Amino acid sequence: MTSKNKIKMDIRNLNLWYDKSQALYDITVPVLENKVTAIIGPSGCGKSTLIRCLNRMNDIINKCRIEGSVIMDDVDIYEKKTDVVEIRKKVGMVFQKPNPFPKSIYENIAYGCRIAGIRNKKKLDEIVENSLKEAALWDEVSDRLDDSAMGFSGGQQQRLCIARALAINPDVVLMDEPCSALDPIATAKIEELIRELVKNYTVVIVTHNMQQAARVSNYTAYMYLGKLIEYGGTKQIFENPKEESTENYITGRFG
Amino acid sequence: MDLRKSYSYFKDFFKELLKRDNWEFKKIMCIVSIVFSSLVAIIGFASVAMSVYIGDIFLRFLLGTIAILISILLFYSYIKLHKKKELASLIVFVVIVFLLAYYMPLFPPQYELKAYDVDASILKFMITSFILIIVGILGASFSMKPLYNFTSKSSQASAYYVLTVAILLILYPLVVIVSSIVSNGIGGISWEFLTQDVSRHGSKGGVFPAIVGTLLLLMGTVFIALPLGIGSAIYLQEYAKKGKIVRVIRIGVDVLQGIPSIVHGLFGLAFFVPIFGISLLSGILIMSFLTLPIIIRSSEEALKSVPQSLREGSYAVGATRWQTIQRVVLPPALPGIITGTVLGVGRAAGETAPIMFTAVVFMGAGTPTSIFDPIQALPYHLLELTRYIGAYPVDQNAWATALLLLSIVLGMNAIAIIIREKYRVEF
Amino acid sequence: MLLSRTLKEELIKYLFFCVAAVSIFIIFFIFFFLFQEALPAFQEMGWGIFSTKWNASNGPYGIGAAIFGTLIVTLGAMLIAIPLGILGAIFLSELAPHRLRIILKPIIELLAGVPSIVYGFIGIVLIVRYLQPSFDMLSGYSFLAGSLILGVMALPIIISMSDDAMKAVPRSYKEASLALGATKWETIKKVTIPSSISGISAAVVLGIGRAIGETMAVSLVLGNVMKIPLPPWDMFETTGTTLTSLIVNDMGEATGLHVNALFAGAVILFVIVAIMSISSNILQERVEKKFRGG
Repeated sequence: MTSKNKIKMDIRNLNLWYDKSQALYDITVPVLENKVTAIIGPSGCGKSTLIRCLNRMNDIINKCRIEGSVIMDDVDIYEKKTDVVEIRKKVGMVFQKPNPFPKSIYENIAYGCRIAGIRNKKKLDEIVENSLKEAALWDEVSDRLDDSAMGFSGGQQQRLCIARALAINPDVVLMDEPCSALDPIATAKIEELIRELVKNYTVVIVTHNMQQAARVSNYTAYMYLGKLIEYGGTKQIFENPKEESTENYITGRFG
Repeated sequence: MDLRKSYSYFKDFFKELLKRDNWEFKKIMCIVSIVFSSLVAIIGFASVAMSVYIGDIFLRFLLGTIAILISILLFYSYIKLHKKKELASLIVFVVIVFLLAYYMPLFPPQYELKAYDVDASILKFMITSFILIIVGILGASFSMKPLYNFTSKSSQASAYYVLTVAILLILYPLVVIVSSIVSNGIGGISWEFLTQDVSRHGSKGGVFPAIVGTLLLLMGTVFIALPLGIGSAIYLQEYAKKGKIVRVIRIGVDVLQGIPSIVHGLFGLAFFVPIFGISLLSGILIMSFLTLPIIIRSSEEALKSVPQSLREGSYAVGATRWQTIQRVVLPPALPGIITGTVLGVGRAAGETAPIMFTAVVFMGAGTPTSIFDPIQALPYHLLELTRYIGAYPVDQNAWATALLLLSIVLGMNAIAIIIREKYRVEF
Repeated sequence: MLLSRTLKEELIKYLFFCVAAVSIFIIFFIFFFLFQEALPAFQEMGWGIFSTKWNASNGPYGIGAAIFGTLIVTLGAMLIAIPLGILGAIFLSELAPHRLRIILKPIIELLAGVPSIVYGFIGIVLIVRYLQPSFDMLSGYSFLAGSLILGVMALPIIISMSDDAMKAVPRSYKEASLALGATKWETIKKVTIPSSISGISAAVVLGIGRAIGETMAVSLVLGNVMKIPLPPWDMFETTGTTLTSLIVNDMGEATGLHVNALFAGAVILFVIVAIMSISSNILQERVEKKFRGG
């Protein structure tokens, strides 16, 4: 493994059950540092479930049981003594629908920092500005930081959510279909943003839009019915898939 | 030889103890402190409930032990801590508890409030047990902190502890009320009690006419309030979903629901009694006004939960709005409507104030022959018996009436909740 | 055929409208008749109706003492019910595991169904008999007993409505907070409660309204003397009354202006409680708007 392709998170033999029905079967896949990994597949194949395993968001679901391990920086995040709060500080998440808090822009971004114990007003200002700049939102909102976040467009809200995730300086950013509720122009902006982000962060993105995966990702994992069918470089998956199922999906024969 | 061995053993033990990072020891101390503090709070609570003073020595022991336990924890974990605020509040707490441990037993057995123009005194057990409760709860929640190394998780643990205490405090009166009514009332329930008329100011005989009266009242109420309630809900949900009129009606329903039952009673006295006299009919009309908003509210909820797509499907095959409501919307909403009706009637079954001036007499009503006759009713019967307590030997019958009334009302509520849970349709 | 069908539909619609308007009609009806009966008292007494000068047999009939009593007993009840109720609601909606919740929630709803006369009976046989020796009081009938009973009675409504308000906070807010590394408690404190604060206030306001209008339980344990309990911290003295218990106790034997004065009390009650209901309603609407965005 060269330093260029260092593994940031390693998912090993992950199985997941909701109550009695199994949703993920024996998933083993790496997430490479400073790369975009896309997870694609038809609806209900478990891609959102998988990405939520990476910061243990499935913990809050009743009757959800997980076996296997996810190694990040030599620590298994599912080990008993691992503090889930620490994991979530290192692994930020952006959700399918923009979900800003009903507070001002500033408060939205400062929220995570305050939780982490940063109280210094000057420092907070700095973080808010940097995160908004990183999320390419600063120019649009710099004079309206005290306005309620609920008044902005969907695309702006989603970039705000990205800025909010970046503010606590995570290593990894998870994106669960971040563009599914957005129009094409807003989508293009977010995609551009993802390509920028990957210079400093590791990004995992779930998408049902294959073109999007092809445009933004370096590596792609294809899932079907809770199983990982194929994983490889995005170019290889899209141009020369090994599995028939992958090819069928990519060429649009089903899904 | 032996002595030296044991001495060195103790020396090692203390050395081990004095290592501040001794995690295992700290954990054990935390748990001991949490359990002990909770125990103290429970002792305080029991002391309030039983009106007993726990005694000077025991009090000193309890408070002193908490103070010592927390001081040890302080020594082990707080000292190297940089959070000065937490440290300060903890030291203040320990000092106060030590002071309390010393001064509380010196408190006079009875503190007269006469100096403040109050005809009462605070007894020692009241003050001491409240202090025990508060010190116990605070102590336990402070002891949580080192357990999680003062991360945000430790304040979470303390908060959860307080929340759990709160829910126990909430459930306590429920348990006391239900258990005392059941245990005292069950002996009074007999065939005679259920089938005979009132005699000797309620100290003998039974409550049969009151049962009959209450049932008649409820039946009449359903007869009037149910159609009105469903009709209103259908209008609000199906015909007019927005606009000023609907808003006004909604607020009106809320206001109606909030009107105190005694105000309903006075209205009945001013309006219905001059026309219908003190009669079943007056009672039914008043009770209908009382239950109407409850039925409207829950029927609206039930109609709201029927998805729009069902209605659209029906319109698409050419059904009119009324046909759609009749055949598509009402059937799945029915369990919800029934639930609301049972809840509303359950409330009516227990109300006294609306009927006491308009429909009921204490005895002599028998089984009414027309709706213009006065009735007897269980809640009013209980009111009169309560007023006779002390004057006549009515205690046994009063407990039994309370049990009967409580089981009727709670039984109806339980039925409503069961219907709701069982037929809850997930769309 | 077409005409008759649309006509029928229109008729049905108007029929339902009339039915729905019944509630409004009832309210005006109630207010009108109460006011009509109360009018002589308002005319005779003027603003003096709010004074504390009261003589049951031949006037004057100032109900100020009862209004003051209502305020004190409600305040005492809320000191118990608001903190406990909100804590209980947080436990129920955020902390209780699913299995515990499906047991606790119906139990608390059942508690709301206990008739007030049963609370009154319990108040006499348990609370009054407990308080008298415990505080070395003359009789045990007191504002303290009234507040305790009312506090317990107001609890379920505050818990149940606040719980609904907190459950209505979109899951996505909570997830966003958790994903940023907040603990569950931090999420409750900084996201769930601030987002549902209007709903919680609506619950509190409604609880206060209920407490003000509660009759049977309070009237049995208060002792019912038409006098301001001074000094105000004197929860123990055996004197005092509330609007509701004044009406219940005096209505039986009142005549003439005395009756009108009691109706005036009912009008004041009606107005206070109506204001409470309307503000609770407005608060709840604010909740709905908030989560719709904008």
